[in-house]
Amino acid sequence: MMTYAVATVNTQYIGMGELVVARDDGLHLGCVGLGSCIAICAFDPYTRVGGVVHVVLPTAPEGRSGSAGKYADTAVPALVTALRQAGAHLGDVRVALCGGAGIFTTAVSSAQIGQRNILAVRHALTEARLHVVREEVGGSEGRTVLLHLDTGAVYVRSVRQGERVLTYLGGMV
Amino acid sequence: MALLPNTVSLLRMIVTLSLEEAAQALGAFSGNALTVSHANVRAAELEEIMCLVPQAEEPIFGAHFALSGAIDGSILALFHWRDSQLLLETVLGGCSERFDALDPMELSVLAEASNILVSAFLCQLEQQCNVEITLHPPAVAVEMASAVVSAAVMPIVEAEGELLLIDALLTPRRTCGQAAACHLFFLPTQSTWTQLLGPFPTHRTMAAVGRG
Repeated sequence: MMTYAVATVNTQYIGMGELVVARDDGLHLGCVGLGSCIAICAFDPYTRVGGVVHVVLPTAPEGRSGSAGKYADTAVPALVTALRQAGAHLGDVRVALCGGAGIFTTAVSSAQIGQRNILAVRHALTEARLHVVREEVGGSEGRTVLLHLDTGAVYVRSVRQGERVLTYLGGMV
Repeated sequence: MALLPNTVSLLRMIVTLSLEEAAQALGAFSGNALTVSHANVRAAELEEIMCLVPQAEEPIFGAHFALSGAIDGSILALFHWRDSQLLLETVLGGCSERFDALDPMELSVLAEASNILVSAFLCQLEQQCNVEITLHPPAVAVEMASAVVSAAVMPIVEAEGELLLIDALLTPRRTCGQAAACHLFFLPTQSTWTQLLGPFPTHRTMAAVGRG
């Protein structure tokens, strides 16, 4: 597992292609410095089970095994399975998305990967019938995202805009 | 496809030669003589690359150059804030206090320094491999380090290829030994590698490295 220097006691940072699901009021799950990658934050406000997956690329190559969280088309089914195993009710799960930027706006390939990731993640979430309540995707900004498992709050940080609340996935319970 | 040892050796020689030329050109650009105090080149995988930016949220300057012609791919040049400050002070005599508030002139200076380093490497590569490579104008960004690196390397990761990491340490004469470090990530597609360097004879490569 990849760890970052900025990790704190109660924060578990999730490296590229990793998936973490937990039910722990004191824990924050996060992805640091997202560029074209996408963080899918999922939370069931009733059971307080939440999870984050750090998606790197849109589609798994045929016959490729390995980290399910790396590709959008395998990450979402893996997230669904993990949430269900941890006790979440899929009908109650709310999702926030963050990332998918094109950091270098004239470099076609990296911008395309961000956009392709966004489309692939949305498609996979629709297939899985998971409800996206809020997203901050695209653009040209790097982002760090944190899901607080006690409240379902999703925070986003960027160099120029600082930290702000993206949404409360635990709201309206 | 893994890079062969002789391929890496050839690239090591090319990097050594090109950085010497780049130091001269940067010295002329900045009006302050520069020496290359350290140069290294190695093949690297994604996780190793991400370890180069342990402060993942720290802003970093990146210049991303698309390549075409004999090489299909890109090169990313990176300068951390301290290194950017040193370069800007060397060229302009001072710089903005915050990385995310650099003005267009300062960004242009960093882009030009990146351009000199990248061009010198590609010129040597062209000469050694007898090919033509087109370097396109860079896209620049001052953004979270992890975002800059991952965005640039992702096409290579998607193609399950390797990338080449070049580290250079540049020391301006008037800075009492302070050195500016630059990372260059050479990101060609794997079919390009095969085409460009695959047939290169091992004995010629090793002999050249021995001379270096």
